[in-house]
Amino acid sequence: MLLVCVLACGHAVTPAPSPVSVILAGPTIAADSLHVAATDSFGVGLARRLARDTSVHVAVVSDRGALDFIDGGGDVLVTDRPSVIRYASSRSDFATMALPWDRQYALLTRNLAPPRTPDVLDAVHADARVAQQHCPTDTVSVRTPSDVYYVAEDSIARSLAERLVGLGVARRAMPFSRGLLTLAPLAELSIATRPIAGEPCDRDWQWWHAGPLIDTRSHLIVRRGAVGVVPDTAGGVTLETTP
Amino acid sequence: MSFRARLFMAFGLIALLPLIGLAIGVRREMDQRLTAQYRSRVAALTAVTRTDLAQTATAVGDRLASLRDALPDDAHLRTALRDPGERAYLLDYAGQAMRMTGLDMLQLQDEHGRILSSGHFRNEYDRLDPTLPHLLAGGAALVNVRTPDGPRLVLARLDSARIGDRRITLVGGIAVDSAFLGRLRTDSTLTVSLALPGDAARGDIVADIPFPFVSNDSLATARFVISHPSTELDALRHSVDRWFAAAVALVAIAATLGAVALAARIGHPLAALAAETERLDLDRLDVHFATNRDDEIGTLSRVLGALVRRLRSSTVRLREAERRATVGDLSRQVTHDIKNGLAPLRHVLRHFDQVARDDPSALAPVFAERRATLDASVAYLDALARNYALLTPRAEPQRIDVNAIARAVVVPDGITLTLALDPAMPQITADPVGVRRIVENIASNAVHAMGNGGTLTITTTAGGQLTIEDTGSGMTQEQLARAFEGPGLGLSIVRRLVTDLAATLTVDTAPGRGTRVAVLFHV
Repeated sequence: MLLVCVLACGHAVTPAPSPVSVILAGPTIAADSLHVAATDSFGVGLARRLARDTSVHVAVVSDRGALDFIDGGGDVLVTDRPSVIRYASSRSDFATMALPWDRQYALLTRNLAPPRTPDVLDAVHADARVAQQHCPTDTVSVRTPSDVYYVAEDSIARSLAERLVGLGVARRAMPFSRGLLTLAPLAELSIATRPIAGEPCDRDWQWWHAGPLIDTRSHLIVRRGAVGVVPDTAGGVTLETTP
Repeated sequence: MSFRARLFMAFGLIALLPLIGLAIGVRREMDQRLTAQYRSRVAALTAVTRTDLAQTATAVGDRLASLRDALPDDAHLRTALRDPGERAYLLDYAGQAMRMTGLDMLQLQDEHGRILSSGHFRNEYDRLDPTLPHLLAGGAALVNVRTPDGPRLVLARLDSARIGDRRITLVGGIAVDSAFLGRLRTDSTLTVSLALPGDAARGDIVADIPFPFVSNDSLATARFVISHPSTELDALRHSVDRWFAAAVALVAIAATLGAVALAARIGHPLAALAAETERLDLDRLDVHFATNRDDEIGTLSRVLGALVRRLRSSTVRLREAERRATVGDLSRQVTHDIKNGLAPLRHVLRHFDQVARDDPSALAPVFAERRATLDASVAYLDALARNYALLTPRAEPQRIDVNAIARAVVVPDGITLTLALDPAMPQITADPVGVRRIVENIASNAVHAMGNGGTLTITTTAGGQLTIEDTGSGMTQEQLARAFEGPGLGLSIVRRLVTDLAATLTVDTAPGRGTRVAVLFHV
């Protein structure tokens, strides 16, 4: 049985291909059954059958759960948490591999252009860089600090929102459930994500003014000798179980 | 105001006034003692709360001190302070330390007041806040610290550590929330709340503890307000009031009933005495004041009885005097009348004597001439004699055998006569006609009351009492009163005759039970 753990750190306001889908897109990976350990539907439907006696378990876990997963004999782990990556790198039985920058976090404003918000990289616990792709936008500051909303389940978005509060850009960081995503445009300020390989700015966030903050990427952690990793031509990787 | 009403008021006042006074006194004493105990208890609880607050501030200081001691030993932290590449460790340091020390707020600042690491608000790093350490230099204070979700009130203290040539300021505290205030409650009946400057006081405040409060970069004073609802004390007071009110009501009812009973016990005999006395008259001296009471009312009854007896005796003497006076007047009148009647006769006889001496031959014509005068005078004297003969002369008292008079009573057919005559019945001194009229009148009334049948019983006793009892229809008190007042049944005659004899008349009668008339002669 092949165990795959996905440490989910963020979700797009607009549904987008997930890191798991990239990983599991190869034709050689499949499973008898796909069990989702959380309510999240991350990657469901993209796994393909490889062998009848093989199953893939996808779990969405916390930081501590990821460490326990490694210590508990897990084979594949996808994560963007530096602490987990550092721990796996310190283990000789695991190999880590940085995956492509695939997600961008931005500050959306409803009526006004978002302010310039430098120095947010240290605010997140993720492998992040300053956003490389900027959508065309004005440079008008928000007049009055208001609450900034973020998806409660997205810790990176929460950290960004809190940093905006720390900088005085926003008054309070207010979480809202992912089930209320459609209400996000009603907020004055909100943290949103989009896939870097996705549609252009004006297609993704055409109703808002977007100020890109950071790009993030995940790392693939595999147990040596248990899983083979083959980069594919689409920028992703394909996993192969060892015979 | 009647005697009964006065008695009732006196009884009520005597019973109620002391009770009301007692109630007021007890309530005042209880109120003072309860209030004193209440204040003492609240003061003790307030002192405990004060101590708890001080201990909490001390505990925060102890935790900061342990962190201060551990800080210089962390080589990774030293690296993070110098190497920007290790900044993530520095930013996460306060959060880790805060959780490990059990604090709810921790902030590390450099010597310029720049926030190096914040446990309660990880991403407020690099913000300048030099005022807070300055305000906390005097000791623990309440601080509204920033968090991503909004301000949060903490009880904070200050400490500092030196790492190399850098001075790190530690600001730590614990959250002042409902749980914190709940821990300050030293008694379930107390409520501890926090009043920030400008907050209005609410509830029954028994004490407040001022505490420094950092607000808007300045130092003000907040208050931990200890309130204690007085409802328990009020409920106790109301309960006591209700019990006293119930006691007063019960005593009032008991006093009313007692007063009514006492008034009835005293008032009714007095009213009966008054009624009997009201009946008393010179013509009605058969009123009885007999009693077995040995109290003042009994004494009064006996005094009135003696008075009646003296009145009877006096009445007899008075009537005898009246009779004698009347006889004297009558004698003088008779004498006068006879003298008046004899004067013409004396005059005519003196004329005849003169004629017979001077001219005897003229005696016949003169006699014929004066005969009319003689006849008229004789007629006058005759008429006068007849008129005075109509006045019954009073018989002289005699020794009378009452039993003999009783045996002479005759009853019609259908009436049974029963005689129970005591031979020891003493003879009495009285007018035999009067005694006979007494017996005849009473017997006649009895026969009349029995109609066509019944038993008439005549009894005499050695004590001088004559009793005539019938089995007739009897009389109501009203009928009896009318019988004594009017002449119809002869009882008024009997009463007058009995009074003349200085005897006592007793009538016992009721409708359907017959009538019993007793005459107690003065032996």
